[in-house]
Amino acid sequence: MRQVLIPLLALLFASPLLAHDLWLEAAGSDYLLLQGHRHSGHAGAETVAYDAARVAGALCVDADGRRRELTVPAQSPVRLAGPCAVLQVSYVSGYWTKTAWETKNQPKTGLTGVLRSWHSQEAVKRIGQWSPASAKPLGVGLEITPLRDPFTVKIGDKLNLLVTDDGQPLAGVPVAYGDDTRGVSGADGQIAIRLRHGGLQLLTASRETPLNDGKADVSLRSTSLQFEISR
Amino acid sequence: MNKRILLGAGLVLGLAQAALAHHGVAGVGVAALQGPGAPIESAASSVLPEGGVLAYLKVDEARFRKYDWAAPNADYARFTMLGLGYGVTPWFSAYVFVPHNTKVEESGGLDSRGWADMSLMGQVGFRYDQDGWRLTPANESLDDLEDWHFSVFAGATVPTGSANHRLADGSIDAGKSLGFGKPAWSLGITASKMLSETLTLSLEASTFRFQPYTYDNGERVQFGAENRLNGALAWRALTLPEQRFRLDPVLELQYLTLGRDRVEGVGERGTGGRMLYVMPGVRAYWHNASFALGVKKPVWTDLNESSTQQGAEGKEKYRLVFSASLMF
Repeated sequence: MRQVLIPLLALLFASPLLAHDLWLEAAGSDYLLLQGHRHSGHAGAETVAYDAARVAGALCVDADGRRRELTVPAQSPVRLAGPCAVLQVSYVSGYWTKTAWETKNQPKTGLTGVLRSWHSQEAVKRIGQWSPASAKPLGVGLEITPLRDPFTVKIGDKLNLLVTDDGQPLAGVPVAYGDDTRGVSGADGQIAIRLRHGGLQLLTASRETPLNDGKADVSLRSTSLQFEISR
Repeated sequence: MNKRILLGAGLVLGLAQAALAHHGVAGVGVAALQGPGAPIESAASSVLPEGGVLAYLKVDEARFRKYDWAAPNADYARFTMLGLGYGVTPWFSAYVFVPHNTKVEESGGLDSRGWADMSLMGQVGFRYDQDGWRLTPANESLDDLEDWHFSVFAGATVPTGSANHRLADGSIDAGKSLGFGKPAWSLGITASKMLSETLTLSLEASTFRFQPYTYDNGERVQFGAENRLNGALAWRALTLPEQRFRLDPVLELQYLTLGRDRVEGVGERGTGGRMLYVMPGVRAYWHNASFALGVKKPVWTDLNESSTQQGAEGKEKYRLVFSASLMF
């Protein structure tokens, strides 16, 4: 457990990835991808506009486990065609560089006074219906998967989660409930998180790995799992 | 047998038992900043992480009330404990402790100091949550740490100290000896629960039992059993994440019953009784270290022959307890 303190602290001290939440909101049988602070504990606009070109892909899985790639429209907020038992959206905001003066959405190449640089990629997974397919990782990138039906979890109970990267269990990944980091995944990729309120649940995980492309120091990937339970 | 025999038995064993509680060490890891707090002296339910090594130091200094009839009075006793712990599995920790005792009387009295019996301890940790009982797992989130945790511990002293330690006048006083001659054993259970994000309750029930031993002066002594019921509340009052520092005020209640010692099979007058201690204190966490300081005072006593038990538990003016733990 000792070795997890540093990643925990790293997350506590504000990853830029978590500046805005991404979430999927039902709109009839479709879904809207929204960004903002509606579900976060810190101040900020409820929704924030984003560039639809950053949405790199959307994967819809129905209750029978059939998968289909969704067409991503060019308009923001992105509207995705449902219904889906599980919907996962990938969002890439690209390279970021923090200099002594400002933070720029571009690679560190050619910039002076560089303090830190990273490549940012996020994923949002919304579970709308529990099925055997929902219980398995989709196997695409960093991902959180509930190990039992989250819709049966009562407020105050814990939910066991599995953190994976391309479908493989991943240890030592900080996991947060809302804005509150609650621990790191174990050797089996699992962690238990207590659901503390009704309504939309946002569980996030992030991973930082070195980058050798010369454009940024690290790759920052984050993923969120969302679903709703009764209030 | 000297009237202060309880001092020899109770304080030494109290230390050995209390040292089992590696006091907040679990908090040095993932839970340092937000996890459960720990008592100053009582045992807690946290076990060491697998492969983790704990270095432990505790100093307990007791200053005694003095009476004209008891001259030369017991002045003070200082019990220093060195310990090492190792996380054998995520749910089982093993410890070894070596105590050093100093017992000082007023002018004209007989002092005693030296290394006493080492002790070996084992502790098994459990968690109880919505899914039932399980051994303490390797990885626990802060939400897991909020649940009830329990432990069972057991141990025994090893007669490495000199039971027949002779005082300055050449006599042997079992109450001032540096060992029990034979192994003494302990057994206890603990329960811990975070009552809120900042308040942690720790409970302990334990016993320490002795075997009779015949000293070189021909005296056959069996110390009375020690039974403890302890409770502690730790409040996370200050957290400085950037400094990896945390400060918890702690309030501890300790109920102790001491059985009557037996000499040649006969209950010894001037020994045994019941008492309640209150100990306010603080515990600080900094990086991988934890420090605790408390002042312990008897607030209620029912000693068997109180008017003859100067220098025994329950007759302290106060006790100053300091401990330091370091995890590797």
